[in-house]
Amino acid sequence: MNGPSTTIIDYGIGNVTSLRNSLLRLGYHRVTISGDPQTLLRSDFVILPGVGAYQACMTAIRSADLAQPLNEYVLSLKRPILGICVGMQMMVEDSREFGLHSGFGWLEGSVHQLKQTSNHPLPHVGWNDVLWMPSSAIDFSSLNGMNFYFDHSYAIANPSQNQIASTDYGGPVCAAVGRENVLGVQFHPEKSQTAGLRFLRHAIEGLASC
Amino acid sequence: MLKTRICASVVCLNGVAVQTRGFTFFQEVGRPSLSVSYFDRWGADEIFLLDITPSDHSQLPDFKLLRDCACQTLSPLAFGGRIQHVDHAIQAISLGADKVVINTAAVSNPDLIVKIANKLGSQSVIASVDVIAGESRFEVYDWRDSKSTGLPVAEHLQRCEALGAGEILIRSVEKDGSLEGFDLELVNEATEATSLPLVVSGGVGRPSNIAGLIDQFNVSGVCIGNRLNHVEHCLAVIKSALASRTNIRTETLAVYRDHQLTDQGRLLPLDDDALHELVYERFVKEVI
Repeated sequence: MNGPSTTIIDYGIGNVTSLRNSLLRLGYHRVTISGDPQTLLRSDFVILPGVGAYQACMTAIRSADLAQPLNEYVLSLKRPILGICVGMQMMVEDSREFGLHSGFGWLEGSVHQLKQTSNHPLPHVGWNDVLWMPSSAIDFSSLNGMNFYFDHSYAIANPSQNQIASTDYGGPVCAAVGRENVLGVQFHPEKSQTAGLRFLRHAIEGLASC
Repeated sequence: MLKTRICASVVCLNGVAVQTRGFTFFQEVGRPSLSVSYFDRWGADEIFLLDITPSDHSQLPDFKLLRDCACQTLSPLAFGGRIQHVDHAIQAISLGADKVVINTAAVSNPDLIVKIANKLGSQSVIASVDVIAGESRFEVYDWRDSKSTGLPVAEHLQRCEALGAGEILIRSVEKDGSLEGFDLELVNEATEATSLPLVVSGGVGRPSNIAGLIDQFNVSGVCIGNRLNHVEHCLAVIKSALASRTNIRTETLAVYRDHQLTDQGRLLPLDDDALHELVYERFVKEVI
């Protein structure tokens, strides 16, 4: 009724307030913003936000002693996790942003800079339409063609069979990845108005039954 | 395809949303949080909450204003006004802003942009540049001193880009509140000077102003101010006039495609038959 007990990971980076607002609007009241490993391990659902530089985010997570609990939550407990923006990028193996930095490696792939041209300056910022793939375990097809808010200069370059959505910015850009209990989106659902709310509803309900 | 952002600006003076004209005339509109709530629901692609309350350097940004407004929107929110330290930016983001807007500090304390970009990422910093026509070129305007800084705009834009700003918000002082349309010469100079995403502000009077701009220049977005006030569903109506363009996001519940608009982009009244039909039409509220 009040939804799964949800923890939005607080490691000092990311717009956690807006995320919580979105969840409350959807009627999910058991939402905690926390950096405490025990709270994380007790949760039914975890959201991993992230903005800015990849390395800064990974370093902040490690400094907060959250890396090992997150691995345990995802790989041993196999409970649902949603990564947003850099939060999603951290789920793959590594990133080439300002050097080579390793991620969690829960999914294959690595993060590269988007191609910049005069018609496609970086960051890729604004609303872009997203195409959801039928291969996704969760059915997001009702969201097809809706616009979501993006603000990034890097993306997962080789998501392989885990890619479940794409958008276009001077070429295809990976918009979402997912496998089993792991789901990640490049856009910001907490900033994507109605489309974002609909996505969060599908994601939370879909992952709860995985 | 990336859509051109149709943004709304909510300019605040002493906690009250105001209309401005040439940066000198200020007319009260009402509660900023109400404007933010309406613009978000009526189709704003992004909202710029800009506090122009003058102060000395010891005053903090108006975090109460930000907090009241941030909870009213599910769309991107940029916040500006007295951000003078990287801690101000960090707090603004934690209170619900997605980006901070740096205006005067970009001239007086450029290191601030570097620090914020390093800490929060370039995408979190918008360099806001007010522009006035000098004798022979466009110059950066200091709104607190109400005069030109003498700095050439092109140079300043390039400096902001080098410092790590993620976007530029550019505003013509002369066109501000004029409803006459954008200063296209200025837009031309700005697009030549910087490769950063550019949001243009100042002068929107009718939808054709926006159409003319985006047909001619590859801008990231336009920012509308006064024109949005006192008009129900303002953004939805403006976007409906641009609906034939595929690069505009139109996803509000209120849709005006079938309605007639005046040249000004205002709605014409419906005839009696149409109004009669509406009495019996059932609108089901979406439950997400």
